[in-house]
Amino acid sequence: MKLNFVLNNTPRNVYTEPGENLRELLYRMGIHSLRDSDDGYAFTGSDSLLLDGKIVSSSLIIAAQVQGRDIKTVESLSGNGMLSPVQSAMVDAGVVQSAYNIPAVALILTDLLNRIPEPSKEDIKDAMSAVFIRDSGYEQFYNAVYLAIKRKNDPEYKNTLPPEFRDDLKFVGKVKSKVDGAKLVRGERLFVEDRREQGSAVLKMLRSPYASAYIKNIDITEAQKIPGVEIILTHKNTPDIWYTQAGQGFPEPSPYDRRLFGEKVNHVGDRVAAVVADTCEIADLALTKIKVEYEVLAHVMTIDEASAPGAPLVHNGEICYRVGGPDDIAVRDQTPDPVFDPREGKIIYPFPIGGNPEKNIAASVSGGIGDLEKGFAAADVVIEREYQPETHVQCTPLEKHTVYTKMDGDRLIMHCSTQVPFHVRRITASVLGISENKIRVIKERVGGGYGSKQDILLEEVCAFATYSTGRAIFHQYSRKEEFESCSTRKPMKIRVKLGAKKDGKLTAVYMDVKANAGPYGAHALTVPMNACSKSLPLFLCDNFGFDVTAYYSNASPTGAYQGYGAPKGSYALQMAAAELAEALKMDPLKFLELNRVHEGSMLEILKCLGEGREGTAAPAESCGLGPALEQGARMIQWGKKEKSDDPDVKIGKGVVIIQQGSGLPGLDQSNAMIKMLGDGTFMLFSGGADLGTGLDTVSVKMASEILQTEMKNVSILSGDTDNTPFDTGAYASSGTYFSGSAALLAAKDIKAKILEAASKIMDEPMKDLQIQYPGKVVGKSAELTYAKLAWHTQAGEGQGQLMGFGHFTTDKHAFPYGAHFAQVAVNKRTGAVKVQKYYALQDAGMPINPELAQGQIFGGVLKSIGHTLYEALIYDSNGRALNTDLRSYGVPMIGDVPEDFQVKLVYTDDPYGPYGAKSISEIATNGAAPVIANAIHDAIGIWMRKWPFTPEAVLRELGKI
Amino acid sequence: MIKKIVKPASLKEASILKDKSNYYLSGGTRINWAPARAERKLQGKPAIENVILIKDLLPKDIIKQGTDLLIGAGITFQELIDNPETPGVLKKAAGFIASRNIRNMATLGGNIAANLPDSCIIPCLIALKARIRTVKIKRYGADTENAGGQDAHKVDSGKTVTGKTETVTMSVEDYITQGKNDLIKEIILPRVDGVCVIDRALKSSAAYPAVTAAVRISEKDAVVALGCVADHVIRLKEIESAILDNSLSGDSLAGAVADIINPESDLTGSIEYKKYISGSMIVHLTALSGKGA
Repeated sequence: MKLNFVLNNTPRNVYTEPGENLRELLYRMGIHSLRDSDDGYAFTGSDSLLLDGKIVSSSLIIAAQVQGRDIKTVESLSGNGMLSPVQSAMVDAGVVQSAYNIPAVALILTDLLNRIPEPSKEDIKDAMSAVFIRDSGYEQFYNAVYLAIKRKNDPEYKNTLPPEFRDDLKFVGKVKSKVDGAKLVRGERLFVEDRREQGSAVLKMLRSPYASAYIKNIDITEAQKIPGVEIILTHKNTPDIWYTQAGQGFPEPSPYDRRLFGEKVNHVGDRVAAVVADTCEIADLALTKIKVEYEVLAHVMTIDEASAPGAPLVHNGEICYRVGGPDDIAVRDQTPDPVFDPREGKIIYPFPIGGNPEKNIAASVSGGIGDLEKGFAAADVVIEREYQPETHVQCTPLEKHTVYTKMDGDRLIMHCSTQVPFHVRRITASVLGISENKIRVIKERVGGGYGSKQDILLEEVCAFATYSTGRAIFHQYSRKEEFESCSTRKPMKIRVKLGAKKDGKLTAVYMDVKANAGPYGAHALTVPMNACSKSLPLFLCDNFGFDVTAYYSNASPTGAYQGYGAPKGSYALQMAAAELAEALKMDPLKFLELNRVHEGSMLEILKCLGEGREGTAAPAESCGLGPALEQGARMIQWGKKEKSDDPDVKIGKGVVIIQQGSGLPGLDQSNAMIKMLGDGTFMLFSGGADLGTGLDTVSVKMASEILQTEMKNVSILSGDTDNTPFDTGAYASSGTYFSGSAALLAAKDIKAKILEAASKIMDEPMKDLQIQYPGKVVGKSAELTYAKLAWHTQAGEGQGQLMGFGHFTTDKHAFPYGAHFAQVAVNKRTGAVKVQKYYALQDAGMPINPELAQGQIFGGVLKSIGHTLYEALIYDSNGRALNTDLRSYGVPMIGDVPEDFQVKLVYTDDPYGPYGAKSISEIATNGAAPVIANAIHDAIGIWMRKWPFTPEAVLRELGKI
Repeated sequence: MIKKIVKPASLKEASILKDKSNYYLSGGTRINWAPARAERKLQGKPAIENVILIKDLLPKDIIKQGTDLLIGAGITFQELIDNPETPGVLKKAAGFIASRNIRNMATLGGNIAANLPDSCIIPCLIALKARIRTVKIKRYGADTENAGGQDAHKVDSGKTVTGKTETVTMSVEDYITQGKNDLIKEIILPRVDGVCVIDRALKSSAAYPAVTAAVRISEKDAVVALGCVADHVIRLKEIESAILDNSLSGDSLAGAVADIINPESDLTGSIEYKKYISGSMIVHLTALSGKGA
């Protein structure tokens, strides 16, 4: 049908199918700001537009409905590359992070200000009610609106709300526009899906309906006959190469227990076959024509089921070791080889990590210092509790997992939404059996990762299909696939035993962590290990012990998630600490003060907490816990009992301390290069992968600060395996500490070269030269601008282009710390828990991007509030997840934000971090569960030892149902 | 995917065009919503391919008529909230749709017609004794190839429908319990005594509710309506009588509510939870309504 409507003030006439989805139609017409985060569920707001002046969800509209109507999208807001006041305010308020639906929010807030020039907090909340924000939480959007109001009259009005640090610095620690903020808020073509070209094929996956089954037979004959089907991949025509999907440093501490397509499926949603076809419709049709005969097997879903004697084995094939082996390897070698069902495949351990798949154990480790038995014997009070954060919680990035692959001659080009471009290259090369120089991975802007994009979940399949066919291929997960076939945080059961003297001093601390690793062992050792390594060192005690066991199961795959294992370890240990304090009749804050780590404390426990390698004791060189606890206690009026007007409602308060790491010293590596361009500006090449967190901005600030030149004079290219140097990737809170340090070192390197070159040109000794703002070398008698220096060095007689290189590795730790305080109101009649106040006081050393740092803390806290109170995948008895959409799964929206939500950055100067910086965001996810649990106990006297704390769970704990 | 769309010129024409093969499309939040399409597939129902666009035909004003308030069925939830004539409790119920985007699209008539068990507004309308006015065609006989006259209307198939449009007024309660699907033109809110109060139970602000409820008590009557515990919103008449004659209160009232309903366990909560929270909520709302909250 022919359709007429006005789009962004221009009349448009288009031909369309009457039922075509409006969002798809407009995307086809070049409106790329409209995104589909959830397959037409219209829950995230990413598809918002103005229809006849009202904000609506374009996914819910068919083209025929807009005949004769007026449509406005975010593209209408900014002309000639300029930002509207709302857009610039959003960038500067720090809300533009991964930004997949941020353009839609710009439109929503513009509409708000058109309706209500001076909106209240409730008005803003209402306007944002259709928007799901996962990265920065929602709190800073209020500031963005107030800033936009000011900028309507004064475009230069500065955002004064976030704190700034170090008066002696110009860029570092200052509120500066995120370097990619403008193009993100404008809704430009920056994501993988925008790289898709006409004529490219699509890949769709046939997934297992069973939790555990052999594929007895798979018949693709009928599917292959469908015109437009390019290739169908199954276990019969793909390599028998085993690998791990975990994007970790090589060799990975994860078992190689999967191949592209196996003969055995290990979870509902596991890969069975992939269809590559000209269109989605053809691929979908072909999927229905693939005939699969399954031999259904018994399955195990939980830690208890997987660890039960005689439990069905998730992997019952051959077990090999590349290096070393288990303690009984000699005995095993002498016994006759068992006969394995070839359909089981195999597991290859790169090195021993305590795995015993014959008992469903993917990995295990034990350790400790001192003498636990003696420590408990010396205690006056001993408590032992079990905590069950046993839910599967999902990362839910707004941008679903997406990849686009194509050939360039004999080279494979991969456009990826990934945290680990270099690991994608390495793993893809090994699966395809080709060398790394034949692959280029380009990390596009990433619309949220949170750990789920640390793993290689779809890239290698698409790469194999392109390499096999020569076709350019696009593949994007559906939201259902995000839930079923992505990676969740590992469910855990954690037993904690604590002993203390009457005065509260800890004498012994023991943690027994059991984790559900899911069907494949990605991060099987390191996530549960992290539950110990990022919680135990918060306490000073002579006797520590821990046991960690990760079990295979047929539940959804698990892997990395912001915070890694720490949120669950922290929940168990901090809650146990509060329970011990109660047993000691001691104020929990006093207990924490008595036993916590201090600046300079030697952390002996780290000796046994290496991430898959030998650990070493290390000092806590910087630690802001003292001021954080002091300020937080003051803010929340610790010790003052609050009373509600509603007799059903009781109010309680809680406090916890938290920590994380900054990358993986001894394991991670980052590199960066910088070159001076012809006019004295700079091009910085960073291997780091900015996920929207502002890592590129960190790197540019490092260079600008060292080189004393405006940030606009330093452009950055990052995460491109052809054009940027190696970096292990964005995980384990490594961005600022590792990639930022590499940029800093590269800038220092070129600075030295600038001075050396200037010395020759200016004929002054280097010791008399200084770099000064704005971008010049100043000597005793003269000065030389960078532009002139560039001309000299790059002219026919010049010494050559100036370039710097930075390579960062370290064995030094920079632990970020924090104290979180919460006040909750619990309704004893309904079981509802309302977080009234949440104060996150965090020591991130010197915050490089203060406004973005605050946003990441808001976002991390809110995620973990969701995990604590309602988020959880729910399975039926067949192992099928039932709530595979964002709404029924339950994610925090703006209506769930604590009434009084504050983030305070506690300044410390870490000796090892770049400009004293430490990591910022992962740690923020560690506090909510224990602090809310402890506050609930303070309110109504129950201990919530199991996630999530839904109203129903609270009522059960109260004995009302 | 929707393949055929017709845009009638009047409500009369719309009602003539309506048959089993097509659906009215007003706001579109249900018909165009991906999960609703998936649910139809799961239930073995054919995909909706033919729709009749009615949005521009429906009234959307709120008019006072004597002691009644006439609300056009085409009014969106947001317009309902923004209109000063809308009773406060109805604004609150409309606000239970968390998303402003959806409130800007979903219409009151469409929500009633969809007759969803977890409707946020139907319990409130029942408690307010709301009635609806529907438009339908009363056919004189089989559609013919050729017919003429004042009551003859040519339809897309080429055939001619002979019949007369009629307007029927019925309670919201009857409409939903009888599973009607006639075109809703307007909603009539009579003046009622007592205070209507509403509530719902959910895990988070945008979650699907486990229970929705509305209670209105006056000296003469009491209405208790509950959502999410049956395949449509239900009215608990036995409970209403017990409230009126004060034979049940507190725990005994909560227990009676729990006994009378048969909810199913689902993602929002277990049977025990739904029974408990329904009882607790009705007790609470009864107290609030009684106090004239």
